[in-house]
Formats: sequence, C-alpha cells, structure tokens
Amino acid sequence: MNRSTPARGFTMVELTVTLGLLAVISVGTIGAVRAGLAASADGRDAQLAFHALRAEVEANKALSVRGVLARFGGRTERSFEVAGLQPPAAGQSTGTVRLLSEQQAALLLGIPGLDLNFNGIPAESTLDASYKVLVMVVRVAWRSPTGTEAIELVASVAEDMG
Amino acid sequence: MRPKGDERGVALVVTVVVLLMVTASLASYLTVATASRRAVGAELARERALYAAELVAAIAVQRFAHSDTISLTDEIAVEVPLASALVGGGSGTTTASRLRASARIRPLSAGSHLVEAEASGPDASRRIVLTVRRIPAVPPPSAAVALYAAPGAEGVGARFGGREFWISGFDETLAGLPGGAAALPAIAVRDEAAVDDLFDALSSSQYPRVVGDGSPPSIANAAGSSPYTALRMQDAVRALAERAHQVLEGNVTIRDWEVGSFGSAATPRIVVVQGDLTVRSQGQLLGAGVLIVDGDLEVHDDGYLHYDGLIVVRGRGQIELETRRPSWYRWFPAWWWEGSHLRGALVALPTAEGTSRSRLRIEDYVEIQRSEEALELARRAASHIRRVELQSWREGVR
Repeated sequence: MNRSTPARGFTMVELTVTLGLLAVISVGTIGAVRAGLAASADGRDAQLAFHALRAEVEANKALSVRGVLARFGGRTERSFEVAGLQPPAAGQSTGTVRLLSEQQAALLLGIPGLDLNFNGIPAESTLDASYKVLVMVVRVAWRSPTGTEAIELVASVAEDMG
Repeated sequence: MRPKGDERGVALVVTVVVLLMVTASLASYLTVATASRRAVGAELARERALYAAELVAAIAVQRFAHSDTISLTDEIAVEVPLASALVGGGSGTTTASRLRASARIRPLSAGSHLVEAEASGPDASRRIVLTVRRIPAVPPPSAAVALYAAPGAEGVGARFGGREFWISGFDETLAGLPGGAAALPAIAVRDEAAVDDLFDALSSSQYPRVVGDGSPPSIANAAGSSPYTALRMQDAVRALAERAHQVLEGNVTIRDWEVGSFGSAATPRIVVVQGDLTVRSQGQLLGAGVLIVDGDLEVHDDGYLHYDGLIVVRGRGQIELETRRPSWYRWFPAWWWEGSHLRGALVALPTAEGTSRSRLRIEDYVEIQRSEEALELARRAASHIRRVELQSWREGVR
C-alpha cells in the first residue's frame, strides 16, 4: 500500500473503532442524561411531598386540640392530596394524617404509662377532646418510576403551646 | 488535507479533551439532579428532630401543668421511630433507627419553669428551650365590671337609670361583710374614650352608686395596669368555654316565674349559652360559677339575676340589666323582695365581627358587687382546667 497518497480515506478498521467508540459514548451519555432526568423528577417529587407534609403538620399545630378534632370531623384519620404527585395506588390518597390514642402513642413512642389527657388513666384506647397533647403521624406516599416512595413525620399538637 | 508533522496526534488530544468535558458535564448534571433529593432528606431529618423535641416538650409542659408534685428529677424520654425515610423501590420499608428525644423541666425565678428538650437521630439533632408558667384558669378581674372593646373600636355605649343600682369594686364576702382584698375600680375600660362615655352617661347624683378604688364614680382605664388584653382574655374564656359543664344552644329565655339554675354554691358550674340570654317577666336566673353568654345578656321587665361568680358576655358585648320593683311590693315587708345581684365580676368581651363597641345599660334595682369569695366559686367551677402560659421559645441545633 502506498500510504503517502494524499487523497486516501479512512480504513474500515478506523471507521469501525470510531463508530464503536461513538456508540459506547452515546449509550453512556443517554443513560446518564436519563438517570439525571429521573433524579431531577425524583427530587422535585420529594420536594413537593416534603412541603405538603410540613404544611399539613403546621396546619394542625396552628389549631387547638379541639380545633384539630373538629378538622378531622370526629374521625382519627384524614387524607389530603398533594398536587403534582401520583397516588401510590388507584383510589388511595397521597397524604394521610393519623391521630393516635394514648394506647397507640404509648406503643409508638415506647412510653407504657402515657397519659395524654391527664385523667390518671394511662394508655386509653379512646381519643377525645380531653386530650392535652395529640400525637399525629403524617405521611405522604407517591408513585415514582422506581416504585412507591413515602415520607413520614411524627408531630404533636398541644394546648397552651401556641 | 494531510496534517503537517507537528499536528499529528492533535485529533486524539481534542477527542480526549472533549470526552473529559462531556464526562465532567454529565457528572455535574447528575450531582445537581440528585442534590435536591439529598436536601429534602437532610431537611426531613431536621424537621423530624424538631417535631420530636416539640413532642417531648409538650408532654413535659402538660405534666407540669397537671401535676402538683413534679420534681426536678422528672424527665420525659421518648423514642420516635423513623418508620420510613425517602424509601424507594418498594413499599416503605421500616428502618431500625429511632430518634431519641428527652425533656427536662426545672424551676426558674418568679414562678416560671424552664423546659429543655432535645432530640437526636442518625442525621440530625435539634434542641428547644421554653419557659412556661402556670396561669389561673379564671382570669383575675380588673374591676367589678370590665368592659372590653372589639379590636380597633373605642368607647362604650353606656346608660344608667335611677339611683337604686349599685356597682362596687370593694371586696365583699357572700355574707355582705368587707373582704380582705384590695379595692378595684367599679368599672374598668381600656381606652380614654370609654372613660369619657361612662362619665357622660352618669349624672352627678348617680356618682355615689359607682364606688371602688378612687373617688366616685370609680371608673378607670385599665389598659396600662391590667395585663389581660382582650386577646388574652378571649383566650382564657375560650379555655373555660371548651371545658364547660353545660352548653345551651341557641337563645335562652327565662320568664313567667321560671327558675333557670346555672350551678350553686355547693356545685358551681361553667355554663355556656350559645345565644342571647334573656330573663324577664318574673323569671329568675340563679347560679354560681362561670356563666359565658355568646349573645346579649338582658335582664328586664321584672326579671331577676342572682348569680355568684363570673359572668362573661361575648358576642356583641351587649349587657342590659334592669330590674324594676313591682308595684305590689309596697304592701309587703322590705325583706320580701330583693332586686338582681351579681356577686363576683361582670365582663363584656365582644368577639363578634363588626361589633363597634360594648354596651352597658344598668337600671333600677341591680347590684354588681365585686366579691373574691364569689370568684372563688368561679375558680372552683374551673378547678378541672389547668393552664400554662408559654413565655419564651428558643430553638437551636445541638
């Protein structure tokens, strides 16, 4: 072969190596971009969930014990939706708040004789307006491309603490 | 074009540089893309620690409020489970880690107590320090009659009729003997316009019927001397109303020889009337403790009020007390008949929107006598209510 000919092109080997390298680089780049986009979306979802979680906690903490019970309409659980998040399953809400009875709070917090209405009877299973401290568990769960995600907070509402 | 001898290998260098730049850009992009998620995780850990510290502080404060025997060694400790933390790829797996939180309470000077609460978990720690003090469930009255105005309003609508009424800020026992407490004004308001309105409503011949601290008529602007602002008073009355023994919905009218019983000296009660309370035509309102009226309070047309304790009129803060002596009275001995009396204190506390000012109308045989002994009945009625006041709140990272 005369390699000094000025007008020669690339050899098949050069082209193959180049195209192979391009393919590997492209696949890696596309994968990284996709991972970045997914991470970005995850971060946005997590931000949304966190802000909704905190807003719900603060909305309850701004109320008295009776105010919270009135907000719950006599139930111990209420749900709320977080705009921009997909519910974890059809028919489920993204956000839930559970109010705990003395019995449930005692189990959760590891205090056997917990008396939250200070009537001298610990770990009662009923929840009513006599409580001076309400323990609540706020949870936001949503569906992401990688599965179901959730964040949860344990917070309290107390009389005379505003 | 054939490269010159000194340009050979430049393509390789350029390719490597470009590749490095692409790689660095991708790495930066991925770092930025995942940063917000990590930030949420860190913020969540901090919030969890803060709410856990608040939780133990709240339990400590309420234990302090409801216990007379709390000692310096008392410590409230809880472990808050971290049930799920930004879990992915599954259905919220429970982690074994827990947030440990504890609170201690110790006395400071002047009746205040210091509450220190802290919470620490795997990723964050928070600490809060509060000062609290116990406050009476029944707010101490600033006068025999305390008139508050709606927010932003000034003055009071007042009218006094006859020379038989009696408003006294001097302490008196239920037996009518002088009590041991210092004298208070007969009527206390919270702005100068209301003081002027009351003076304008009284004729000079009525001055001796309004006695207490200072020369008659004993009327004072308590804005500077009484710490119970309208908001604070409303807060205290709300706490009383929320734990009332009896709540009567709608308007209540007592008339035609009916007797409305709202507690007694033996069993004083907190009663809330969620509307107007009207007593007339020989009706009698008897009671002791705390009476909270969310509408107007009206006693007129031979209606009788015999109450020992604290009466609070919320809503529009409109009070009309007028008990006339019946014409047939003159045929009977004087002790056979007595007019209306309230022993304790009367408070007008308008809370309704659009209310410009309180209105007080006192006419004829109406006696409002400040009595600490009667107010003790109000305190007994509220003995199941324990209140604490948050004086300061400070937060920090441990």
